[in-house]
Amino acid sequence: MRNASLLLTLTIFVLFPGCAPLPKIVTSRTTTEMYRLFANDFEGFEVPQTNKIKVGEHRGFPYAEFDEVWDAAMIVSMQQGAIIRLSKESGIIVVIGSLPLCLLVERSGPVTVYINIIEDLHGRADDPKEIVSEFRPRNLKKILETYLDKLAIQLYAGQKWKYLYSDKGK
Amino acid sequence: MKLIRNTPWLFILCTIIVSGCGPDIPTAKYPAREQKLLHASFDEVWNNTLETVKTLGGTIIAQDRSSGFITSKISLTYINTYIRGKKNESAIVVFMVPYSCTSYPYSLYTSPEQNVSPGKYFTPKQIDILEIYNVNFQKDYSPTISDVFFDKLGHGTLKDSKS
Repeated sequence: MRNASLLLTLTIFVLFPGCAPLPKIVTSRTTTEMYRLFANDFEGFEVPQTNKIKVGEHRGFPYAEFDEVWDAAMIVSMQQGAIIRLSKESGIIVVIGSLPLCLLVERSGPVTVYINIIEDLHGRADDPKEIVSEFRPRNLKKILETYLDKLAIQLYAGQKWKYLYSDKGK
Repeated sequence: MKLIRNTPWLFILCTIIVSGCGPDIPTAKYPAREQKLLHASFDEVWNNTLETVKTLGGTIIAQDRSSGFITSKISLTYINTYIRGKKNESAIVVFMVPYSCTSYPYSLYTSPEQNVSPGKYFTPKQIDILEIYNVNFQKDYSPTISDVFFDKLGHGTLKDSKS
């Protein structure tokens, strides 16, 4: 008797959702600003203003010249993504990888590198204020700092601790 | 006796303290995986890189001669090319990192009937799916693109050097 009631209950639970009408699925499509630029080979892409880049993370490299920092920035950046804009004169590199990043290598005084995300590129085409990001915003600081760490390693690995990279015996 | 019994723990503690106090010594660089040494002048390599992109039917996305950098797009592959070398030197190192690009839909599922929680006994009458098309850049590890590019670049550069 107990088994029969259990079986009846289970049958009702199985049948009841199965009899429910299927939901109507409405699909709509949109793109991001990044998609639009990609389709046009990044024509019309505007490099972010300096003050927007400076809001992000930064690090000073007092032991190095501008050319050395620029060289290290190129080598690290080209391995982060496709470089779509760069100018040695203005010190700006825009790299599109898993995230769109903008780098500013400032000449004045001790060489300082600023880095920030270009968040606008992940905005929806139909609603630019809504950002479609695939990372947690709280991780952004860590992402940017990791980039600067790589830059520091690329730059100083052969200079600050020269005894580690002696050419003798090579 | 007590000291002898605690020696391993003291050793572990000392090791942790000493290693933690050590300087942060960088031990590795980030060299590009694909690189080639060309015995030619900077101008020859620069011009031939542009020519190679043209030959392969690609387009130039960005270039900065003072940096020695060219980004090109061949089919759906973006290629970073860094021509690294001083203008007076005869040997130039060319670094290259290709990225394959794909577009993909990013789906958001929403239900217009906010009061109905789907998945229990009722299913919503309507499900809205918003597909947002985005682009993904991923490092291209296939050797084909790099080989073809370097072959053409090397061939063109050597041909110019001889003439």
